[in-house]
Amino acid sequence: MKQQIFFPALSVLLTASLLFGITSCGPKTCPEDPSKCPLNEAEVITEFINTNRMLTNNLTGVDYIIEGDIEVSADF
Amino acid sequence: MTIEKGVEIQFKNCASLTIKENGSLNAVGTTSMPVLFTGVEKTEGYWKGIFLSGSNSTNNILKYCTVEYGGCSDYDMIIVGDNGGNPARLNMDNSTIRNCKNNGLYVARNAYLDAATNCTFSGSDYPIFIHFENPNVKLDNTSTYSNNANNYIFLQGYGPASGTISISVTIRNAGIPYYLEGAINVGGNYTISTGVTMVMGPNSSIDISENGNFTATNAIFKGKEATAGYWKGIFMSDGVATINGCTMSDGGAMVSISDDVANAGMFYLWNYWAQPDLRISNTTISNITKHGISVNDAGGGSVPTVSINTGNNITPGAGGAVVHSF
Repeated sequence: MKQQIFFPALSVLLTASLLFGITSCGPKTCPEDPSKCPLNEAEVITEFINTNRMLTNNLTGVDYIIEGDIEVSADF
Repeated sequence: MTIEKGVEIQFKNCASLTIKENGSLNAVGTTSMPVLFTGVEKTEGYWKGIFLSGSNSTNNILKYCTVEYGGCSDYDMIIVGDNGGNPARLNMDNSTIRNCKNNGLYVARNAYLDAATNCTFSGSDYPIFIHFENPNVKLDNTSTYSNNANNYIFLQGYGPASGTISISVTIRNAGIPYYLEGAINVGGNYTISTGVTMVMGPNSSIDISENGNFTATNAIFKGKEATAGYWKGIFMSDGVATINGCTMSDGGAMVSISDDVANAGMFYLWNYWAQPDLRISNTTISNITKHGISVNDAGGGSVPTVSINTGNNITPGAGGAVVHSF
C-alpha cells in the first residue's frame, strides 16, 4: 500500500520542481525579485464606489488593474 | 481619487473609470515619473476611457499623465461630460492623449476645460471635440497635434439640442485648425480670435441674428475642400459682423431661400424685419459661386448697413463683388 501511494506523490513533486523551479539553486521568483512579479501582482480594482483613496506607486511595473466600470463618487 | 506620481494603471477589456458628481480625479506626475493610464493590451479601443461625469471639482487635474488605447464602446479617451446639467471640469497640462479609437478629448456643451497646456494629442480620430456654444473651453497654442485621423479640433455646430446662443464665446487660437460641421448661430458676442483657421464642413454656415455681434480678426475661413460653394457663407438677418484682415474662400452658397441661387453670396444680408450691419475691411474673398456680398433689401426692416472699408479684395464668382437684390 505504501508503495502505491509513494510513487504518484514523488512524480508530482518532481514535475512541480521542473515546472516552477522549486529548488534551492533555481531562479528567484516574485516577490523575492520584484522584476519577476507577473502582471497579476498588481492590485485588481473591481469596485470603487463611495470612497476616496490614494493610488500609490508601490511596484516597479503595473500598480493597478481596473476590471470593469469603476465609479468614484466621493472625496473626503 | 488621488493618483501618485509614477503610478501605472492598466485597464482590462472595455473597462473604464468614471468620476461622479461628488468625486474628483487628481493625477499629478512629474517629467521622470508620469502617471500612465493604459490598456492591458496596447490596442486602440481596448478599454473605454476616463469619464468625468458631472464632477465640477477644481481638483480634477491631469498633469504629466499619459492616457492611451481607449475608445471601447464609442467612448472618447477622456470625456468631460455634462451629466444632466452638472457640467464637469478638467485642467490638464504636460499630458499626452494618444491612440484612441475615437476622439482624444470630448468636452460637452456646458462642461469646463480650464486649460490644456503643453499637451500632446496624437493617434486618435479628432484630437479634441467641442461644441460651438461652449464658452468654457480655454485652449491655447502650446499643445501639439499629430497623426490624428482628422487633425482638427471638431467644432460641433447647431444641432437638435443647440440653438442661437446669447452668451459670449471666443474661439481661441489653439495652433490647429477648427473643423465646423453645421451652423454657428450667433445671438450674442461671438469672437474668432487672431490666427484661427476655420475649416468649414459641407453646407456649414455662420448665422447672425438678433443681438448677434460677430467679430473675426486675422482669421482664415476655408472649405474642407477647395470648391466654390462648398460651405454656405455668413448669413445676417440682424446684428453686427465686424470682419477685419480675414481670408475667406470656398463658400458663397448662402441664400435666404433655397431657390434664390442667383443671389447667393459669401455674405448674405436680409432685412426681413431688422437691419443687419456688416463692417468689413482688409479682407480677401475668393473661389465663391456668385457674389461676395449679397444684400436683400426688400424685407420689412431698414436697409442693411454695409460698410466696405479699405483693403478688401473680393473676387466674385458668376456675380458681383457687392450686389443689392430685390
